[in-house]
Amino acid sequence: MAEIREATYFVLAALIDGPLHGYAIVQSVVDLSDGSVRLSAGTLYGALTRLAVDGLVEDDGEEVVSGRRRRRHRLTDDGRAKLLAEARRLRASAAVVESRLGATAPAVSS
Amino acid sequence: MRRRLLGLCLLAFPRRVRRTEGPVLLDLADDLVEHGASPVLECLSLVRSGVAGRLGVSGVPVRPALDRLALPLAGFLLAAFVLRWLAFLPPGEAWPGWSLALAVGGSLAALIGLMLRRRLPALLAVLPLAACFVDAWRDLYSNGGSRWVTASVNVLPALAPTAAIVVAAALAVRAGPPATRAAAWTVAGAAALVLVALLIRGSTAPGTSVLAAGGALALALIGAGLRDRSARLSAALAIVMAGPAFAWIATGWLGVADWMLYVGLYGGWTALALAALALARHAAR
Repeated sequence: MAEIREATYFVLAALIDGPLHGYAIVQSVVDLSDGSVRLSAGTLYGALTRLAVDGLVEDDGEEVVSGRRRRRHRLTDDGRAKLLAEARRLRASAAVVESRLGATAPAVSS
Repeated sequence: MRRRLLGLCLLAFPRRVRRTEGPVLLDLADDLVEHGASPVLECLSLVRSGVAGRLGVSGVPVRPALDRLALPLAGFLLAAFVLRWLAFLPPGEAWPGWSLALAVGGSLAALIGLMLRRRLPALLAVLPLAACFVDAWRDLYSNGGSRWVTASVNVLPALAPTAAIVVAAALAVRAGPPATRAAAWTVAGAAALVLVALLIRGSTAPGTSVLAAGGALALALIGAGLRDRSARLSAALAIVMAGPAFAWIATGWLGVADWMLYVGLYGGWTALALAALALARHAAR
């Protein structure tokens, strides 16, 4: 399975609770990543295009809010499965490191 | 005005994309700027995304590739300009001139900015880049001529591509813990490069240094790139960095007329850019 980049991971995570439009995705990614990932319009467009080609997200219609056109995107079943697999992979990787750090806890905590 | 500027940047996208995605993209970029995003970075992001789409390299991991190159190239740039200061000034002259002084200062600031992960000082890499073009202009059009040109090496093809990549890396800098250890190794490597170049001064010049450094970097990164997409792109950028110097020196060796030097330079530059593009496309997959 191909790697998922950090920004893509958070874009998928932003869509867990339901469809969002571009600006809401950017805001949600900032919240989820604790401010470490800030997407620009071009970057988000590229990420969503690739995710749509891979069948991980799909369009969910357009709306006009305060005179601005906004397109909603939603997670597909494949996208949900991919995100879950990536989260499990990250958790397993973190567990390996945490267990090894635990074995050397005195040196780390001092 | 802001919206008009963003609309202009949208022209980087193919017409087909502009027709279907243009209004939504424009409104999104406008929204982000209205809520505090930098209009310059939004513009650059639209242009980058549009050009990447046109070239078929969308999804190339640009930021990690630049991150990988940033410090080594900034260190190399500093070393090359310090070397020029120390080794290629006319005998008896201590002051290298404003353009070279700014190039050295800008390279040093870029190295420190990249080490501290601060965009503003890192962006002073535009000084050496601008100095390369000023020098080239003086070389071609000024009565006084260039103070930088030595032997058959022209600074513009030799160092401008490296400076341009460092500027791009500076634009992509994100806040984070200082890369003190990596910067220390970079400075040590740069100092060693200057030392070695001074020891073999008779056969050294910035053009050949760029070629050697770029070639070694590209080979190392292509090796790493077999496993890593961003390393493949880093290798492509290293080839672009060394390409113009190679073309310039190669045509010089052949002893051709001046106009053929320039044809060789720009032809070589184009050929290597196409090769780098092919590598980048490979990295996008």
